[in-house]
Amino acid sequence: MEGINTCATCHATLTDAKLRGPAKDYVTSAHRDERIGCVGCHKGDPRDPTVGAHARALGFIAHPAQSEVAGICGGCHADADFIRHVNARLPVGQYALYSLSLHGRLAAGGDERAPTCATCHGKHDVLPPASPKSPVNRANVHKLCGGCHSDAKRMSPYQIRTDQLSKWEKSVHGLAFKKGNPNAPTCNSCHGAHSATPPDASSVARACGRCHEEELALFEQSPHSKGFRRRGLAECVACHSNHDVAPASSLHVGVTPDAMCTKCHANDEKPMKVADTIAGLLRGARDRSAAARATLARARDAGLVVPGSSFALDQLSTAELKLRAVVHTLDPMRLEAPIASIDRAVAEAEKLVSDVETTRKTERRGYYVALTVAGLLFLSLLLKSLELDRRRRQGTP
Amino acid sequence: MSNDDRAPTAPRRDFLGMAVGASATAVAAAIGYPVARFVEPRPMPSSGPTLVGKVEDFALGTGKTVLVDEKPVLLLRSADGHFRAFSAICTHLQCVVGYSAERNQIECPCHKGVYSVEGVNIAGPPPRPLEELVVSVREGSVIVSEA
Repeated sequence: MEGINTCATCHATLTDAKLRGPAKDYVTSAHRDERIGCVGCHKGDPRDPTVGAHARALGFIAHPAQSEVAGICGGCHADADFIRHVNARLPVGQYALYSLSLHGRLAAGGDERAPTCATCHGKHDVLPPASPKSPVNRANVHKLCGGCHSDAKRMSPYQIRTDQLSKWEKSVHGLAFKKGNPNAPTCNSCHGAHSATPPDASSVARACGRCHEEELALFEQSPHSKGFRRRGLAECVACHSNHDVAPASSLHVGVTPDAMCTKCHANDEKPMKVADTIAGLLRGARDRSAAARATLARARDAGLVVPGSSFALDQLSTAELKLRAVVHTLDPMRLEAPIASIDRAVAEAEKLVSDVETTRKTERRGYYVALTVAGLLFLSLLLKSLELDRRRRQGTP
Repeated sequence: MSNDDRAPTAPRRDFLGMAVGASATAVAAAIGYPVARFVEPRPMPSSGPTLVGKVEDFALGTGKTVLVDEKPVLLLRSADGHFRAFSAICTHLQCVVGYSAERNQIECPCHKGVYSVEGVNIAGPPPRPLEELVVSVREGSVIVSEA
């Protein structure tokens, strides 16, 4: 049957848009391959140019049921031997992962609302995920997932929240995504694509740790790691939340009512002393960094060119990021090294500005002295000259 | 009548006039120069090849951070004396990266990003390689310029 696809040829000539549309979509889809054809999903006989091609005896399916779709797609996509001949770069585990996912389990249980392959990838117009028009393209995934998960009516039978997308859009991840940061996570970065499942308490840190590797490694050295696991707390989420992750701030740690520590610890508990110490160290480092940045900004606003200031700021930012990571150990002693790096960067920045200001002051003082001397000289010579002229006119010696 | 009591001679008057003119010019220049600089500011230093040191300043098998156009650049010198230069700004979150002689790789201290000595991101979160700059050696001087 390879090479013959009369289905698309015939359907493209039909007047009924419902019958013509699929043929039109197919010829621009990722499946426009003679080894796949319409028959790849609908069966039947593509060599027969009559309605005989639709014979039930040939296995023809006009409209696959929702519960059949994954099996039809998986028929090719889970067949490693077939896939390696069509597109060796394609993975073949999607069907297995989908079957394990919450979506797949709902569909297998007969839930007609549960998404299947076509819900996300499209039907006849399936495009490669790399295509910007594909709903599963990285740029579109949040709209695709949000299309269902923000729909309160659609989600009501499952009793799950519908604010994930709006929270993500305002989160540090969503804002970075909006700015075009290629590292910014979208829905499937944490939940998986075909294996879509909410990370549970025990796997949250692994989801976050895929990108925040350093923070996870340091968190695992902290007293929180074991404690959270013992209590079944979702590790990173307990302090940072999930969809609405806020920018990291030194205010996260401390004993003030808005600090995260107060969510679990009473102010008279021993861990709060540690929290207070860490908060003090972070505040001090933050204030010194802010002062150094302000000094550099003032110098820039005053028109001073401070050689090396850009590098000093880079070093300061580097030290601050390192400090933010080390905070996850909750060990004040371990904060000392990154704080020392911050202080070195602060001192360097302030010295650079001070050197430039000193040079400018010296130059300005020299200029004023030279101007005064030249002015006085000019005035005295002028007065002398005028006096001599006057004496000459009067004929007095 | 002594010589001192005589009226000033023409050459003496001329000299005094010249002195007045010269001092007036000096004062005018001292006042006018800052005004001229304000009207026509000095152009900012342009980006171009930067002399970062002498060959002997960079030991074999080491990496050193130098500034090129105010930006940190990691200059590597391999064991065979070959130079390569990369932007020292991590492509993940813009931390300043450094060279580890022990592991012969470029490392980011913030999130454990790792680049090969060819500047290629090989581990951790960096999404793309480090930007490479051009290094040339002329008469014993090491010069770095934008690619």
